[in-house]
Amino acid sequence: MMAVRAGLERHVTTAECLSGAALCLASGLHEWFHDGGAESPPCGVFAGVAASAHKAKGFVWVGQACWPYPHALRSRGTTDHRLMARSLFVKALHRAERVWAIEVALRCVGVGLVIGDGRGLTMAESRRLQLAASAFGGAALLVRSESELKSLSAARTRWRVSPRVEADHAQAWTVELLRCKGLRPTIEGARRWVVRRDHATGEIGEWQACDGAVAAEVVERPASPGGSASADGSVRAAGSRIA
Amino acid sequence: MLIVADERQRRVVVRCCERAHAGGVRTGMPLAEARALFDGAGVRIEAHAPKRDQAALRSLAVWAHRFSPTVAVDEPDGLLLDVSGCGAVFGGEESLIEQACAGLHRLGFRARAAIAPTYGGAWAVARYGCEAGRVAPHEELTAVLGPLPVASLRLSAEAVAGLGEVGVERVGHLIELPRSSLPRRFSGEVLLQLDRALGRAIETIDPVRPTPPIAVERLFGGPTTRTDAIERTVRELLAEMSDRLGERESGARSVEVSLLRSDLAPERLTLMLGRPCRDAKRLWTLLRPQLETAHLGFGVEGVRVHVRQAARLRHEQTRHEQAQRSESDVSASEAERAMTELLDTLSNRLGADRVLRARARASHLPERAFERRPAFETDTEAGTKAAGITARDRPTVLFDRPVPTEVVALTPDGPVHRVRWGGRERSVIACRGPERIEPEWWRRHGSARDYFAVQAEDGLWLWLARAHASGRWYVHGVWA
Repeated sequence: MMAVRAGLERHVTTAECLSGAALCLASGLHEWFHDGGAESPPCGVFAGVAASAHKAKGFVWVGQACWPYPHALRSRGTTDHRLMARSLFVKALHRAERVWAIEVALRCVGVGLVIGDGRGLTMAESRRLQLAASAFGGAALLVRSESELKSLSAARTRWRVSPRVEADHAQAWTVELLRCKGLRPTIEGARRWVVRRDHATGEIGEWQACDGAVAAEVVERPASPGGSASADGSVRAAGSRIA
Repeated sequence: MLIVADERQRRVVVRCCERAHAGGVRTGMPLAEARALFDGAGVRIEAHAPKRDQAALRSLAVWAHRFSPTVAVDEPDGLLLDVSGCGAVFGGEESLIEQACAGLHRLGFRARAAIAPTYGGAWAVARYGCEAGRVAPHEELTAVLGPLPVASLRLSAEAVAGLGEVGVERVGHLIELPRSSLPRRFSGEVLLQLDRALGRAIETIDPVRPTPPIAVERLFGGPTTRTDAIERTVRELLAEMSDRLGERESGARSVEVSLLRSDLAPERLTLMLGRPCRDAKRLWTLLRPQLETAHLGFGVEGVRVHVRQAARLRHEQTRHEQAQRSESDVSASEAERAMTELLDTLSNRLGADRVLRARARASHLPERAFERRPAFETDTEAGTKAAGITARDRPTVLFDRPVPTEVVALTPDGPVHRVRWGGRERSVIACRGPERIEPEWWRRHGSARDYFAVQAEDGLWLWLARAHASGRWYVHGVWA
């Protein structure tokens, strides 16, 4: 029970939220929506997130649909993250297998990030995964199609990623935070980032806030037995207790 | 057949076959000289591998346990057996020697054997006696050893040379010398080995203990299909097996569980493990899904668990389970171990060929530059380094099959203007390329391709390929 509480009470600081990618590494499910017709899962962005994960832990890519081309995981001279050596690829045939593999990976202490094909996930399954993630402190990025935006899920955050035209024609994406449980935005609407990839080195750059500075604070609500936490006071209290 | 080793920058024959010996090859002869004897015709030359010889001798020692319970390896090329009282089983000691030599002959070895009251005596007779297969009784030992050269006493080369200088060449001469003068005139080694050969000094050997494979079995009173009973038995057997693995300080790499079914072939369930394991609970969680789907037939009469492959696993001090696992307190080794356990769990449930690791291959073709191999077989660091991986830009997602598409370009090699993708035509706002990728010349098929990286109007970057031979266009990957 201690471990469960510890996982739930972990809070994301403002600084982490500002860097964007750190929010995806917070324990829980993070659903990523993309235009399923023309685009592929944002594997490049995922590789960038993975590079900022815990240095000793591994990655598990569940479902062939979200496997990146291994070239994107290659080690680069100065900043060798050993992404390829730390990655396991799981071939899952159907949804039940995917869910099982993601859950097993989330429960593993050695896994820093699970990237999974989350298409067709039901509410019950997403809740199950979210519980596993928060209990064991694991993070999962789930690929979902844009057509599923209306489906219910227990995921902690929802993101939308779409390609973007930059003035210098760099490879870039707009990453938009659609939903985040426990996020309290101080400036409304500042939830978009630009992620750029350097085509010469293949490095994914820092997330740049799109509409000015983002000042938002994410605080996990403590697990209260009644299930209802009052909106403002308890959130602050949780933050100060951990500090 | 010659076996050679490097010795002071020249190659020297260490061992040779009988035919080579008959042709005049002797050990210690330089390889060039030995070759000259045969004009280089039909000579097979192999490098000397002392480690493999040792291992083979050890396994031969295990084989020799059929003649005696006490077998020791005598490096580099002998076995010592304590056959006291064993002769009766084989119909006399002469018969024992015959059977042992015949057995070794069947295995492809030419052996010389002797039985004597002491290890030293048997060693001397087997190697230097005029007739092999000789049994020297106790009272005749001095007479038998007498005419043998002093080298038969297992003396060092210097000691033999020292004895030779003063004209002591036979064991008999040594026995006749006054005993008290021996250590003074020669080294203490001479007297010790003489005493050992004659049985005046005690000699001990270090016997080889064969490790029987770990197998535990339990039979039921009659055939049963009750899964709870079978599960319980399997768990008990796994626990028993783990205890026995613990006694040996080893862990299982591969475990086979056989359900002995009545009137049917046994159902075999195999577990493969990434790292040695002797945790019964963990083995059970890995085995459980297999057991649940096992076909029990008309009933199971017994269960057998055996370790197919074991590896060393040191004892570890058990620690309290950490109540809180925050990110910082997971060390690298702990994370790696957890990853291997995850690999076991996934591989045993889904199959080893569905949990993969990527590694680079020696190919410049994008679809062949990387491969995904079962993670069980691959070493984590193999083929992941940047060497051999192209520094050019490659898409982050590569399609298994290039998707045919239609492209508008003003000239065949010129920049692309429009591309059809995702069900509609898109105009191209940026184009990089072409990059010519030739087929692999060692594989005689395929044609050259020209690759373009193009950005569609909505910002999506596509990797277009034009097959040189057919002129068709494909989308091979995207930057996503």
